Amino acid sequence: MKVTKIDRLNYLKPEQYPNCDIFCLHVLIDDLEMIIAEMRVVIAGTSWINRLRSIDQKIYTVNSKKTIDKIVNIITSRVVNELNDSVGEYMISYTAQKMLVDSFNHFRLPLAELLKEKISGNPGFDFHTISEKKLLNFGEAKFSMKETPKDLAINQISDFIKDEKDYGELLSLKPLVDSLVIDNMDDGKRGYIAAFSFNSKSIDTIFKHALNSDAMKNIGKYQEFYLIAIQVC
Amino acid sequence: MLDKMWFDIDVELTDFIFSLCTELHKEGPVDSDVLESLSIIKSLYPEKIAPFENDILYYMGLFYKTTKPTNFKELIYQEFADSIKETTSCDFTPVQADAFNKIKSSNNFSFSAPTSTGKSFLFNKLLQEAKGDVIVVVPSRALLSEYISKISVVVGKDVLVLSFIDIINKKKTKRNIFVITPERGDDLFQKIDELNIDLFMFDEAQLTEDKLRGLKFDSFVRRVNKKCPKAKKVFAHPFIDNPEAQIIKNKLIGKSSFANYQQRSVGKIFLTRKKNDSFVYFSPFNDKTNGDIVYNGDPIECVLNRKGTCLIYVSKNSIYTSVISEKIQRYIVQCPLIADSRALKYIEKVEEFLGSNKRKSSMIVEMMRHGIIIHHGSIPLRVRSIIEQFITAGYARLCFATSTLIQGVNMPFDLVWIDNFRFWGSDDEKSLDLKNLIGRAGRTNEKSNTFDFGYVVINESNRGKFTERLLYTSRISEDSLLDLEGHDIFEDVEDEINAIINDDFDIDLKMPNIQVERLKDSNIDVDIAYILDSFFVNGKPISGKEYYNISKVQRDKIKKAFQHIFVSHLNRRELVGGERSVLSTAIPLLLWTIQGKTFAEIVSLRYSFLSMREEQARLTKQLVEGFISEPIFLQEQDKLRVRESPSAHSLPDKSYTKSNSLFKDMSPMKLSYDLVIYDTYDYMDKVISLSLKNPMCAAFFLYYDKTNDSRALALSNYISYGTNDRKEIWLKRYGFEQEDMEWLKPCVDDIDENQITFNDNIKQYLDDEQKSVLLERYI
Repeated sequence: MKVTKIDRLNYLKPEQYPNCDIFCLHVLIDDLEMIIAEMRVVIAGTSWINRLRSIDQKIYTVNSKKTIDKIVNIITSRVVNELNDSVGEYMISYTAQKMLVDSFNHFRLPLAELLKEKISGNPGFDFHTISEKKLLNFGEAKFSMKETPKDLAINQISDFIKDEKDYGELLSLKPLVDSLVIDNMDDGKRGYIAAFSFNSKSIDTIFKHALNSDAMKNIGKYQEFYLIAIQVC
Repeated sequence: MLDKMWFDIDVELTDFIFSLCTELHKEGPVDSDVLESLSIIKSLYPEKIAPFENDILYYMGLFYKTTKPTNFKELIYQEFADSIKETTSCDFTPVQADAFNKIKSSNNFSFSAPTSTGKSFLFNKLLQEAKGDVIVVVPSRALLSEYISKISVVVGKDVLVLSFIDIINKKKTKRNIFVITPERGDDLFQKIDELNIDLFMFDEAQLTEDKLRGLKFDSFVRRVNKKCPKAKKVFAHPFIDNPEAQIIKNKLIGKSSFANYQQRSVGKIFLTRKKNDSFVYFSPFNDKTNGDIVYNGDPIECVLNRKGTCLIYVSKNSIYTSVISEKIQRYIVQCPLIADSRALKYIEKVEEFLGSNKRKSSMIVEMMRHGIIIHHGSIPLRVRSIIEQFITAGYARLCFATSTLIQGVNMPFDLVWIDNFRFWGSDDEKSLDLKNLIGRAGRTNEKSNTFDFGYVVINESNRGKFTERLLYTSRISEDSLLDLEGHDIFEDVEDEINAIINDDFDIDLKMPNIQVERLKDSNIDVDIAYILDSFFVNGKPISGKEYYNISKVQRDKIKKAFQHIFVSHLNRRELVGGERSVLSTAIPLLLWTIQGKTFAEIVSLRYSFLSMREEQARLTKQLVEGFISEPIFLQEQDKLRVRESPSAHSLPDKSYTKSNSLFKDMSPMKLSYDLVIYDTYDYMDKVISLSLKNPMCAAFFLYYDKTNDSRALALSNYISYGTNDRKEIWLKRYGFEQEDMEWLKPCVDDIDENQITFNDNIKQYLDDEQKSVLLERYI
């Protein structure tokens, strides 16, 4: 996975959103198989079934490889269907979280959020991290086989802010985070992450449009914003 | 959990359902509280659960109910499902697969798993895969028929499945599966050297805790462990916290493992019934209501209206005294008469077996026509077996059952109503029985993508006790009674217990050696000779009617002779009053059995005798012939009273000083045919088969051994098999019953341990569904 950090000033004037740390990140997945393998472990490794001796270890190893290959094929096949979209969305969530942990020292909030499924009615954010400044970051992941759904991601974040979805989610997150994070949240300090698949020609055009969109007016009021375009090689 | 908030129409539950799913994913379906929450939410808002349902089933490991993966997590779970299938070559759940693998890799495996975790499916796979003979030990005779019919379907026709130990049909049999109760375990040791046993399966192995039966169970386990150390031993229990105790207490050798599975496959909703007949929700786990959330309507009616099935757990007394009639009347509207021809065939079979008709009306049969079942231990085993097939086939709607069902039948219902809250034994046993019973609430249907749940209804007054027992952790002792000094036992079972502890049985006579010695040393030859002289006329046994026709003095002498023989095998000189009455009543029934009467004939004869049928006929004749006027006839008829008869009771029982009568001061017109059925079956079963058969057969056999009087051997055979006919004895050893002799005997040219040689007459029965099942392994 290669991460390219691009200066926000390439797309925004300095006086725009002065209180918000904005990061524009272009992530290139050149190790898809490894990412998928890690994603698989997050689910398989935390399931109760994994603790039983239901499966022969050799068969387990062979089949986990088969599953990884299958998922890699799903991502690279670019066929649109319900299953493939779900797999893609997980990949975006997982990769964004992983990148923030690896490159920005974020703390990844566990499984409960990864388990969340997109049910009709958009129940909430897709993932969460805690930044070094002890800010809770709410992540929205959008995947497309062919498009670059940046607008979907940032518009969704903006809508959630309006609906105070983040406060709603805080209740279930409270047991997982320390008091400083809660205090910040109570003081109105937090961050957002828009992660999306990148299938366009120009990363600059995408970032520029995203940062100058109406939705940004809502997001830019807060302390952190990560705009993450994820591209599979 | 039960939360008052859920009943607000606008309640938002998505996040809560997410958290329940997360819990299922991480921990599996082990928390009844989580499953209860899902059940209640599904019952209130099926549309809110629907989008999660496939996920839920994947998280529960119920892969046989899931559809193709539609998201990332399901894809990973499908990998689990595929891997399990490849590992075990079977569509197992993770729990079944884990148990299967542990059984494969251990010499002894003891596990606990809640009701409805698909233990039977696992057992079937083991039975199919076994290469040698298998012994399945179940706790009750009621379970035998259910096991036999289920096993027979899944194994090949060259595998003989029998409910007793006998080596027969050798020519057509590759291996044997014997399904027995521990009481039949002794029979195994007569044949054990001729068998090649590689698996013992002990189902409902918590029987080890039952005093006398537990001793028998432990003794059997130890003896087979000594005789067949290499054969695998598998112990299954429901809801036991320490399944390893089974291995410890019986000191099993070889590699042993154990597992306590708590995964469930269905959820439950709990309701209490208030005195005013309204129903309210409650949770035994986490109740956030004040007991004021009313269930709209009557849940039993609702389930029946949805074509579901209900079990009402009642006392035997409420069946005997017709207290259940009120409930039947209430719900019979939801249970219209059945028209299905296959269902009617089952009903016809029951009617035929019981000999009921318009005059001798049986509620068992009449209710069955509505899909309403009455099930308890005094219903003949064969009828129970037909009833169970009737339920399994989906024709039963409402079942009134007693404790027999807890250990006897593995059938789930959509609703279980515990109307009788009396459970027996220690706190562990009471708690286990309750959990086993409510384990039957909730059927896993075949429908994909459906999370299943059932209802448990209790009466309000039992709520506290119910919760306490449900939350109680049941354990079994790590010490066997066999190893404990100073047993607190009744004198009547002392011989048996000592024989179990010291392994001191006469295998052929099926009695403790000390009792055989007592029979040999006693002065009963005169009594036996008198019985033989009285019972045999021209080499054939007299009929029950002829028995009543002999003088009272002679009858009393016969009774005394039987009493003398029976008491001689005990460590005392006299029977107490109640024991004497029961034994006297059993004699004509024994005679009818000896003559090969069917159960229906025996019940009918007894019903006529008890209801003074001859006296009634005499009065009617006098009326018809004009000897008496109608008012006199009615007056005389009104004076008639049912003959008193002591109800059946297991012998010996020194404390049974005075017998009880079921039919006290009753007009013959009011005599219930069902009561006569129940009591007669108890006599045939508890008194003749379980109490009298072994000591009587032994006494007559020992007499034959000493005197060479062939009448004694014949009587021993009559008591043992109900016949002295060689062909009939062999047919009974092949598992056929007296009821089958009439049609079957003419079809048999020859029979021995190798095979049955049929003639062409058999062809006419091969199209009959039930008869062909009986014949399929012998043809």
